[in-house]
Amino acid sequence: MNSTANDTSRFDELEARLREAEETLDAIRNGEVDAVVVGPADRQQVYTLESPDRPYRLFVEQIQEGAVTLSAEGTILYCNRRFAEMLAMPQEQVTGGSINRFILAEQKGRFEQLLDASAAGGSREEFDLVAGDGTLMPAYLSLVELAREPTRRVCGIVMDLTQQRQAEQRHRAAEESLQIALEASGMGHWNADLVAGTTHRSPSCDAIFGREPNLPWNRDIFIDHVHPEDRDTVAKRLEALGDGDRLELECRIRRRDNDAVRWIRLNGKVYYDDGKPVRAAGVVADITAWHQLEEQFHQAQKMEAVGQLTGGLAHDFNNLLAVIVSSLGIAQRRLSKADPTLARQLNHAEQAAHRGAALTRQLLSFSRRQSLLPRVVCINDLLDDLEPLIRGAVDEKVDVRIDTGDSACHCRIDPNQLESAILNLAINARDAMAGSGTLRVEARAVELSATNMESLSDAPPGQYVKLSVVDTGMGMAPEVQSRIFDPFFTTKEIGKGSGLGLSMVYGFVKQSNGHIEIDSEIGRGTAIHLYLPWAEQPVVAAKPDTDRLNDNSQSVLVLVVEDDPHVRSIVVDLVRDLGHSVIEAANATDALKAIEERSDVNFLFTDIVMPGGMSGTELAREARRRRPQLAVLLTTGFTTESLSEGPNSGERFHILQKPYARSELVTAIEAALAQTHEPVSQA
Amino acid sequence: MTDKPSLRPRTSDPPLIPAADRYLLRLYVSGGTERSTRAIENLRHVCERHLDGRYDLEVIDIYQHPEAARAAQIVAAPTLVKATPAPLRRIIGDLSDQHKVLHALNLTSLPTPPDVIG
Repeated sequence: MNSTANDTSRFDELEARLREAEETLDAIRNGEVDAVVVGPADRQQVYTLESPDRPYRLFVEQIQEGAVTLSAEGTILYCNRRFAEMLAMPQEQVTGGSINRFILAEQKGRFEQLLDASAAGGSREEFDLVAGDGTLMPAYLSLVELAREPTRRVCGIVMDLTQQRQAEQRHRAAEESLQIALEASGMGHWNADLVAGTTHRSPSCDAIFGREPNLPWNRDIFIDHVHPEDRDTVAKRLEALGDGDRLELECRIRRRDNDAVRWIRLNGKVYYDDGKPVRAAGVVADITAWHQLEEQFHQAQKMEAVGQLTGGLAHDFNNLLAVIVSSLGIAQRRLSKADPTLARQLNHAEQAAHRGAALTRQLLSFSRRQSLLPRVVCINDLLDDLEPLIRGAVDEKVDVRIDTGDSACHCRIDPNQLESAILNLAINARDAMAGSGTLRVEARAVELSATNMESLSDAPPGQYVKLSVVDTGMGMAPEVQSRIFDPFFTTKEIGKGSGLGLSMVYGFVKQSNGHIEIDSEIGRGTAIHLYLPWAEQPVVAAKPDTDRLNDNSQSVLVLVVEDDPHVRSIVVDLVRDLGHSVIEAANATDALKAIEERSDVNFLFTDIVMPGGMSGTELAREARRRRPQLAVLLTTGFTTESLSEGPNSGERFHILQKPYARSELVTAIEAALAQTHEPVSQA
Repeated sequence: MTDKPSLRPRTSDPPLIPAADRYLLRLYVSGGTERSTRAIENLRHVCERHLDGRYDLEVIDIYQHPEAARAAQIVAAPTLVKATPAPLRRIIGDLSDQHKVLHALNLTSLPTPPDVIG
């Protein structure tokens, strides 16, 4: 009974103590206390629940870098949320594990060194951490051993470098693109620290100056590379640059490696600090090729202008010569046989007029307004036929080599003009070689593409026949080369050359849609290359038959149309003298009226260039429309083709070049009459 | 404290995916405080010697995850909770008393290997 009572009271007491313990725990759990007293009875400590280190704890918890505490063995004893996020793993699985599982196998040795070094004032390095999902994360690790801890603790800050690496990659890619662009455009870039006297240059920058990389560079060295004639200007330009001023200059330099003179363009900017220039940066480009093109363009413009001038002059001069030649011809025929002296004098006058006509033809050929008779020509055959003439033109001591290659080359060109051009070049070559040397005349089919046309500024890409006349003579200086096509420019003695030879060649080639290239060097000889448009070999060579028509074979009523009254009256006399009936008109309107009124007009002989809005060609076309069987002959002081083509196929007109002799007029009238019977071949 | 222990990371770490018949241990700690970090180290020693490869350990910072502490009715840190196998057991403190830990983990029947000087 007693023991039962004891047990009961003991049970009640335990129950009370348990209740008390649970109430105490509940009070703590429910936050009803501010502080707890802990520790053994003799060394009890009071712990406030909101401790003063809370701000530091929150700082570490919320910092946007990973924070981690490691044990001596590398166990992760603490990490913040950010660290677990970086490694794409739940935070509770990161803590308690080893740091080792996040270190890349090949970087483990390096990481151990970093841990060891953390004791001596901290250590930091970049690593690639292996995240929970297996991806690699570039990170910057900064470790330091915690001081005043009873056991060794290392704490660290981990920074995610992913974005930084991406930015670096973008930066690198941009820099590479810039580098590619600069190199593709042949540019180099440079950057000069004017205070330290150091420079940074791209390899292409050094290459432009023909220098080995990594040699010292400064302003004076640059000036030293500049061509002596440009040095003062360049130095002054550099001197005058103010803060933020753009530097833009073109000058010549001498390349260090081969002493070649090149044109460069320098672009950049100068930066000042405190009134003194401290930095300059920019790009440099070799613009020699561009410069050459520009010079060629100027040359072409000059030739065009001179051509216009001489062409106009020759045209007017030809009209005058036409009057003179025709008048002299008529006068000679009407002259009584009794006066041989006067006949001889008239003959002299006529010869002089013909020489004048030859001179204007040369001028016209330069101005590209001569009449050409282009047809498809085999250059190989032409050169074979021409070989004896070339040999005859040069000295016996000159070794002449004609090389036309294995394959036949065809061009659509006036063969007579081409022959005289080649002979012209051969004679120039002979004079350049002063008696002995080698003259090569070569023909090759070539293809001009956009890339190999640097020196041929205005040649469209395509297939050409390259006809070269190459000598081993004295060669030409650049200043001579730039003028050789100018009319009346000659290096020969007075009386030895007209100065029109190369001008004619130039005009003829240009008019034939070809191009000329000069390659010459003092002491090494000259090569003139003609690029003539390549043509397909013709299938049938048509031969017009004009033999059956003779002088006065038909009764012809000729309508002469000419605006110049002097020329008109001469022409009328001349045609009438041939036995034809003639009516005349001063312009196209009157001419059309005459055709309407006189149904028996069966021949139209008209000047091409006339005032009043309608040209001779248009008149001919309209007259032919109204009267299809009408024979037509055009005449002009300058023409571009001997057959002028109308808009309808097959409609081509014969053209007689002014001035003309009686015999030439007879032939032309015959040809025009023949055309009405048999259409002119369109070849 | 002149001779410091070497800082060599160890290679045996718990696998990341827990299995059904394994020990799932949750250790509730208060940040990187002295007792909490010591509890982690002590627990790892015990687990590696007696539960090698058969346990998953989660260390939960009650500062950063107060909701987890409330759900598990944690009143103090560090507290170790044996979640599986049943019955659920809790043990409070830095886990330096190895026998107490083994008893709570129901591992007392096993022979105790000689302790390793850590």
